[in-house]
Amino acid sequence: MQGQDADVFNSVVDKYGPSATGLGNYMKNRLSVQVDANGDFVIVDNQAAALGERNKQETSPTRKMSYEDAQRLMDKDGGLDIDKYVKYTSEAQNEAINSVKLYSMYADDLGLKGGKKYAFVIDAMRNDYKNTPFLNQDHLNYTYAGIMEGLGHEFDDKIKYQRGEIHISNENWPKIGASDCTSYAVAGMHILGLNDSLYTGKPVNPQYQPGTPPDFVFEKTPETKANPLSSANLAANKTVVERYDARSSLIVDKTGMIGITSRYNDENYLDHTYVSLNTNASEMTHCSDPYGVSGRQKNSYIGWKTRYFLQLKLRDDRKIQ
Amino acid sequence: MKTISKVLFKSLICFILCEHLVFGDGKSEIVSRPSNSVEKFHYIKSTLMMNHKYMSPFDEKVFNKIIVGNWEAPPRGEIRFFQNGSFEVRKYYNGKYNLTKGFWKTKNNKIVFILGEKKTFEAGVIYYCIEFFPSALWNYALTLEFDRNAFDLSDVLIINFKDN
Repeated sequence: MQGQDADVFNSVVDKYGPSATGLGNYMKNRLSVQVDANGDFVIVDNQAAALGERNKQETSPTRKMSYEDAQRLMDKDGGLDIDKYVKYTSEAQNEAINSVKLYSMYADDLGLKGGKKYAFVIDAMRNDYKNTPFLNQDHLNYTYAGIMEGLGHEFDDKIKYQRGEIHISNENWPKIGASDCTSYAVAGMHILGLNDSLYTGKPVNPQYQPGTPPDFVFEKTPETKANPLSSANLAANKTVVERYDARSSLIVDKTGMIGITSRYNDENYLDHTYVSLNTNASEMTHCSDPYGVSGRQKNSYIGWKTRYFLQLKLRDDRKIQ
Repeated sequence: MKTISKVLFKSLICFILCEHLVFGDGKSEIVSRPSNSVEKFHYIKSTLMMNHKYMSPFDEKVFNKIIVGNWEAPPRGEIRFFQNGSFEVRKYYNGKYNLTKGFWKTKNNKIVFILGEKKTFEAGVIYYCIEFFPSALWNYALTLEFDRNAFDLSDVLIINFKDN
């Protein structure tokens, strides 16, 4: 990082003090901010670029949990220490919230707004999280919840609602100041590197307007109608999510699960997507018409309206072995 | 003496203005979605018990006062109840909306929507309540639940408040 970018970066670390130090050091060592051909600020992962794609996964980064860290969560008999674990999952959630907040402040200092700021924060978060391994499914779910809560908090009333705007399968998030409900939920999956179409073979792409891009895939299932709504698209994409019927006796922690709603008189017409932020899904974040992105709030879709809960799939290559 | 009075008077005005600017009216931090008056929020907070579901039969006077305002009918609608007895339903699509207008009244714990001379629609109110969510950005929610879907939008109306 050089010149003006370095000055801006240092001022951020100075301004926000010790809380920024961990991430600040990481960014100092690994990332640089450059101006691309379009005049946009981009984050470049120097170390990953130098090491190449294969090594990038092995050496990556900050939030990789070591064997020793995993051992700390075990009790003396080798089982999971629940107290430590609860602390760990909530720390994972808070860490993700704080990371979004920090990158958002950084973007403010760079003078970025609207879609450019949204894209910047998503790309920066993706640099941190796209290869992060997880102890187990809960660790992933809480991290995802933290990311989405952070995005909701920082972009509440800043990102408008618009259907069919965002194309998901790119490496970089498009700089568009609008999103639909499913694209918003998928933003967090993109940060986690869990919408990788190269891996799944099926892009998670919530486009459903006429003239969709060539890699659009809607996997029709008997449960979902042919109308390729984005919520139905995501619910049908079993390559990236596990789908649970919300009306079954599903008594599990729903933190970080994606809720898919149906219409009043047509339970197969999948209508809306939100992300649960707590155990019983009584609070959520979402992007709705006409308000756009909304931060953590009451979930009014609990009950008959939520048709499915989707859980991000934790791939084997992202598990701490 | 006259000069001293003028200085004192100016100082007093300045003090009052400064007080107002610093402390405001104590309401400037409260935001609602959809937009509603700050007075509505204060009325609700001072009238209703927090996290208590008010079921029928309702106190008619309170019920009527609570209904007046702008409500979200999630995920893509709004219903606006005006003091003069008229209402608007907005069904959104990409930020633009289709508008339905009419008149409303309450009757036996129901809201009667009058759309024309012979066209009415009645929705029974199961409950209304104000809830507090300490961890949430939108930390208060006023909810009203119907016994049926209203205008092909939702059976729940909600106003979210931010009071941080």
